[in-house]
Amino acid sequence: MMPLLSVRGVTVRFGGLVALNTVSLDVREGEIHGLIGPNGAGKTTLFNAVTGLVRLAAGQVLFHEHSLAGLRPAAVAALGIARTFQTPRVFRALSVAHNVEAGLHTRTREGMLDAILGTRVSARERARTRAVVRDLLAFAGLADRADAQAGSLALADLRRLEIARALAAEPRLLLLDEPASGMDQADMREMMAMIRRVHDRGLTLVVIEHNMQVMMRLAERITVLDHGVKIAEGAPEAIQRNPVVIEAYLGRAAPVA
Amino acid sequence: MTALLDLMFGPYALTLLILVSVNTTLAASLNLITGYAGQVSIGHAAFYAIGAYAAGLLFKTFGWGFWLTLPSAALMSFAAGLVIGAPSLRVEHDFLAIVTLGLGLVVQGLALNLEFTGGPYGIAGVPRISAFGREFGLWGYAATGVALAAVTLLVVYRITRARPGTALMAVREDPLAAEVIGINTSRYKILAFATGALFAGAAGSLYAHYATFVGHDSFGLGTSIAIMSMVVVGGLGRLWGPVVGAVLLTLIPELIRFTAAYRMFLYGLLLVVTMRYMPQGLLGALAQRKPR
Repeated sequence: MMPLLSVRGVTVRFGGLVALNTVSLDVREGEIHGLIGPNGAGKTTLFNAVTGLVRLAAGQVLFHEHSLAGLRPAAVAALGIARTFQTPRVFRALSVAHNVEAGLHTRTREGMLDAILGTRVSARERARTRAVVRDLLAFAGLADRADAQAGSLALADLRRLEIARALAAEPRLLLLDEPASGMDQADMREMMAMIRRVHDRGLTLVVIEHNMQVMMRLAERITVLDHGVKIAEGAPEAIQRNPVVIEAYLGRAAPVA
Repeated sequence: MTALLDLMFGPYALTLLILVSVNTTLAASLNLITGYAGQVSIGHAAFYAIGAYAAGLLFKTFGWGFWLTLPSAALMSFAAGLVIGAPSLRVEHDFLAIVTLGLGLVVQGLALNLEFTGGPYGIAGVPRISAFGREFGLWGYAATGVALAAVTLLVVYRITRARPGTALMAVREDPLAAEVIGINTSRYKILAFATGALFAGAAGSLYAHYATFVGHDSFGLGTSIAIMSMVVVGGLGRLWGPVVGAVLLTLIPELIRFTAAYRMFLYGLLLVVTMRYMPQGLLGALAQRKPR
């Protein structure tokens, strides 16, 4: 079966630094794919390469048989790839509900003239927008914060909001960059439950996570990066026993428990 | 009492109303660009100039009156906004401020030095507005001005409460996040820039047919800074902010006579005080006082 996302020999350079070195990786439709590696391994850079935020020096990325080469991030998003950031990037001065509404951009058509003239496109879309926003806020447990300014939310709520905003675009693939970092145990458990509920909606997920125990329980397959190179790929149990992986973690930086 | 009525409806008051409505139109159009889309422009007078010169030249070339020059000047200004916006909006923040500053100077310099713009003599003899065979008096101009300002505000209102407005505000808040959720940030920046230019151009046409003269010195850096001051003092990204700003900054130098000579000084002072004590402008400060 054709993988949903296929990263093929991707190299990314920042000046003299090789952040990703001919990395290849297939993500199957419907799976939760873990991406781990010590700090500076290139995990976030791989997300940036897929979403069009950095230029590839070599290689290509295929999404559902479309080449993503040369597409601007907005075009990648329109094809059905959404992501979150390690430090949540919400629209701080806008309300929580308005943030989710912004996420509907690729699913709606209303243009400047529709808005100014109040066409039927506007009226039809707005009713749907309100319903989708309400559902997603409920899904993310943010219904009671709908009118709060997004900038006033605590970290766990910001992460949930970012996921709700991403889901508004009805993506097929969601890339989560350390969704549980900096959280306490309770929030972390809640986030894991939310990720599973997102998966249950039929999305394919790639998750970056430092916490190995979390990753072992969440992911079906794991890819390990180190210094921009893929050093292992496989089922969680196999990854845990893989001597190369253990060396990468213990030899240079201790795993964050 | 008669003195008050005179002040309220006399020629002087009507003249002030015309100035306020032109300034409101300019400030509301800049508010779309800077307040909602977050793109700082200190060259907005360039589009005011393009509208005014377009009106003057269309009259001189084709003998067109206001009702034809208004839409043409607005559309030409919109086109200029698209053409100038595309390269300018590739830069951000302080760089964009400098680029738009340069843009304002270039347009004014061209107006002063080109032959077809009348150079230092400008374009004189632009006809007054007339309808049904009658020339407009102050009442007619005041009504036209208020209507233009109202349409501008209505358009800004309708854009900002709909999908395109959400996209603009997302671009302002975090351009990278906006792009990643599928908003073509370049497209929306340029659209905001050109739409703002369109209404500044319309204001330029009204001004040309009101002053019956178009000269380069009405459209300099001082004018751009005055428009920006109105938006900032009233409240960036707030629908009524430009109205409050335009009323205050137009009327203070007029009504408190001794301040007129220090107009730019006054604007500068208001900018400093606003940024220091209420960076969200007067309306922003008022909104924060209300308990949520």
